[in-house]
Amino acid sequence: MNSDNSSRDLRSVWQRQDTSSPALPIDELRMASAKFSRKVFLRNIREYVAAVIVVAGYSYYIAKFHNLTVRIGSVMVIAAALWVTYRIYKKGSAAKMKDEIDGQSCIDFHRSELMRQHDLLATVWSWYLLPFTPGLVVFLIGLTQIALSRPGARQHLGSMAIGYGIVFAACAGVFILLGWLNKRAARKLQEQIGALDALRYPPG
Amino acid sequence: MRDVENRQDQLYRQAIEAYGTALDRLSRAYEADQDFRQDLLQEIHLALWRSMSTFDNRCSVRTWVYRVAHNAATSHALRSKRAKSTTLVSLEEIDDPGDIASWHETHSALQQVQVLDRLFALIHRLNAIDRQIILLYLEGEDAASIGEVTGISPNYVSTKVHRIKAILADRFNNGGNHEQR
Repeated sequence: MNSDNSSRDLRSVWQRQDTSSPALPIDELRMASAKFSRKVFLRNIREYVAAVIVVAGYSYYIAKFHNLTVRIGSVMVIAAALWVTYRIYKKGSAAKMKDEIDGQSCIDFHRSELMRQHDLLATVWSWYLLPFTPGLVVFLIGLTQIALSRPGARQHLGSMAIGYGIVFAACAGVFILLGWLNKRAARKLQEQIGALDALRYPPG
Repeated sequence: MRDVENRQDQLYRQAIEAYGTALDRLSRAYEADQDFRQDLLQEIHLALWRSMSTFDNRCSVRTWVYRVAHNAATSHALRSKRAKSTTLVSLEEIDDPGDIASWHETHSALQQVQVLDRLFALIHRLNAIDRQIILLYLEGEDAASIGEVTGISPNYVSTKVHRIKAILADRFNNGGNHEQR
């Protein structure tokens, strides 16, 4: 038996499988479609809700603390939240799931999905984390000033310095680690995207 | 508006009538778990129905159906945590000794169900592109059609099809020889 014959036989076995997939009732599809649209809407809303929480929280700090540095830091964090929200609104979140699956070629679709993940990973640091960094640093400096202004604070200067040092170092460490992990994952995705590009239908 | 909906519904029904069984096979090839397979099949039906509102005859219905179905299945796989934890291989990497042994060890007649079990096991190991190519090949598509659905260059598809034939012949012939003894 040559390879053509055996492949033909196998294709025949494959196509003779006991399968059935009748058309779903249109009403059922409409309901599933509406459910899917609600899911997409709620996912989009979630990103804006996060910004509202940040703005509300730091507005409360502006009202609560009279220290100028804390207030400036809070304003900077609020500005960062608004900036990030604006970017999400303008460009669309890279984390968005594909709303519509259309008839584009499989390789184009797969590439666009990998690209979406790649963009999210490559930009999460500069998009989502970096804008908050200056505000959070200023805010923490303000809190330090408040702590130092309390009576008897000078006696605990050493332990306070260590405490704040640990907080700063931990924040910086998390940011750097996230950035490194994201860059590494983005590089792997870029390799997959490059491999897909090499298989493409020649243009024209 | 009503006309658009009617056309969309009609195109969907016609597509399922012609390719419904192929979509069922496709969902089995992408998802080994019975429960998740049902979810995937429903996702494919939904994606196909929704997509028919934008179908503009720029390609054949068959090409459109296969593209939408494979894209929905790829999206399903990319979201699946189980799929992410599985190492997938290309057709070129599939020829490991352990894999061949598992095909040769059948001494009884190769029943259809055994052939299919092993075929599914092979397909479940493949990466997205090679999985798409082998599935379209098994559905009877030629290299040009596979290229049109996948967007992969026809030369590359031909090379892959050649490789698929060799792999399948190796496993099927060995089973066939056992059968004749």
